[in-house]
Amino acid sequence: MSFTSLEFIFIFLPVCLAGYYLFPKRFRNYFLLAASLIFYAAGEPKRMYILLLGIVVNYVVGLLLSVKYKASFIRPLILVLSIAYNFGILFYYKYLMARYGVSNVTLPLGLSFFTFRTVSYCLDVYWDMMPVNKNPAEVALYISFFPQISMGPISRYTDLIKEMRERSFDAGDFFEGIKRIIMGLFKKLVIADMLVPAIDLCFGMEPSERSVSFAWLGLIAFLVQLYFDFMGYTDIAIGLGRLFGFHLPENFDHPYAASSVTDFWNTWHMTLGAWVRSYIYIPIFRACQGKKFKKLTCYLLASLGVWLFMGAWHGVGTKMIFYSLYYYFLIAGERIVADRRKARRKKLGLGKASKTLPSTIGAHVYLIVAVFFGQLLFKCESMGQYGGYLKSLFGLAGNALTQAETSFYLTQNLLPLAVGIICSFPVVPYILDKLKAGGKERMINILAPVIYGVMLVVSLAFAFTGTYRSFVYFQF
Amino acid sequence: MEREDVLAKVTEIARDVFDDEELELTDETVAADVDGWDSLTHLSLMNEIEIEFDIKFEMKEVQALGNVGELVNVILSRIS
Repeated sequence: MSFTSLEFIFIFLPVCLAGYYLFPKRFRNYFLLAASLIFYAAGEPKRMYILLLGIVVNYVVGLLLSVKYKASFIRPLILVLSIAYNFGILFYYKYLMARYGVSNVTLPLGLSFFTFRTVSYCLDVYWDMMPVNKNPAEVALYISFFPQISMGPISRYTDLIKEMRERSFDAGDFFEGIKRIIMGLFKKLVIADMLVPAIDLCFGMEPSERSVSFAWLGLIAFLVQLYFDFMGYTDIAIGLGRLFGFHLPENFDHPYAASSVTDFWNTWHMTLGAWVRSYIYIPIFRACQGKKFKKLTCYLLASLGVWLFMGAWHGVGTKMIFYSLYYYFLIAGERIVADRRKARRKKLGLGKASKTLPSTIGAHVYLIVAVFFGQLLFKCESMGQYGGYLKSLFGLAGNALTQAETSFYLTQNLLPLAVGIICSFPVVPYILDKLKAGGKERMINILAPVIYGVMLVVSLAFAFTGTYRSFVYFQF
Repeated sequence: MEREDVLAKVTEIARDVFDDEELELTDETVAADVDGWDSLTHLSLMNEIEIEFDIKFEMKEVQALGNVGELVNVILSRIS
């Protein structure tokens, strides 16, 4: 059951909300757990046992990790076995997908995302960041909470458990939740999904059939679609959380407006970034520091660990190895250049470098170019297709400069493209800040409900009439 | 070592790590208050403190300390 499906919007969510607020407070977590399991069973009935087994195994692992053993190797051994179990299932399915193709094997719903949460739970208990949870319902709800189960955002155990135990109804939060859901539906249904026909056509063409202009249009449309698809989903997930009193973490902060690849990955899928930082980057870095390696060596090794993991998570195969290494080398290069510049300035007795307009523009252009080629690799199914697409972009495939499809789809998709590109940069927050500073808060308060109302009506019209399109990150 | 001495030593290390000779730390200082306090500089700071005080932080201390005051408390508990 997708968040954008009519059965979710008009049946599951209203029933769930009514039931939740009708139940006394002490039973609400149990109600949410039941709702989460029903939500999961509706989407993944045959392989639901994987989720249920994951809950039981990790609950027991938590209990075992809380015991003080005489032999010091037992706790680490339990931890290693639990991580091997959790990631073993995930990578088994990733391997099957690579071997038999994504059209023949699908990943069980939310497997990646509940695996992140189970591993977070085990490691947080292992590191004594939180005491073990002896309440199986709380552990089960943390792992299966329906707003987050399919595609995150990934909450850390230590964060979600606090709100699971203590949260209260707040009308402001509730309405904020509704606004986020409307925004999410609009981003997904009206912007991201509108661009899909052009993208599918463009990426399905032979390199020589795809003109230079259509290749660029297809690539830009894909970047907008990927961002708005995932951000739309996250908005809905965060909004749903608010309706039930939870404050789920944000996942995006205008990544295309970043000024380096490092910044881009600090603002894109931020909860995955926080997860890899806590559970991969920091442990590797600390282990290197323990071996007295230099800071830069520790950074390069820890980042390599992160990017090999990121590549394996996104998919198995040559293309994903290139994808990981592409971003790894850019990020490592940025660090080496920054360190050298800092050392040179220190040697010369200069203070911190100030940003000039040309250097700021140059940094943004570099980021956009880096992301164009990196995310193109993400979209293409093979290195062969990637090479072909690159040739199309620069007119090296014997392709024309333009074709009828470019003007047709540009006209058809002008609105979602324009809104998508403008909103990829912090234009709306800037305008709102200016209006508030100019004492126009009253005008915002009057206009906002009208704008949200229009967005809701348009989104629902698209939900009723449009073709159902799954979220891009469902496959991960 | 007194609490003030530990805070002064931590400030001295932080000035070197964050490359800011005018940096002043208080018990209430959090990472967001300091320019350049990211995951990399944080790990460098923790490592330099470990070397200086000859202690070893646990993972929960590396990841979950809320502010400088909590950091100083952990250092004091280890060296006393």
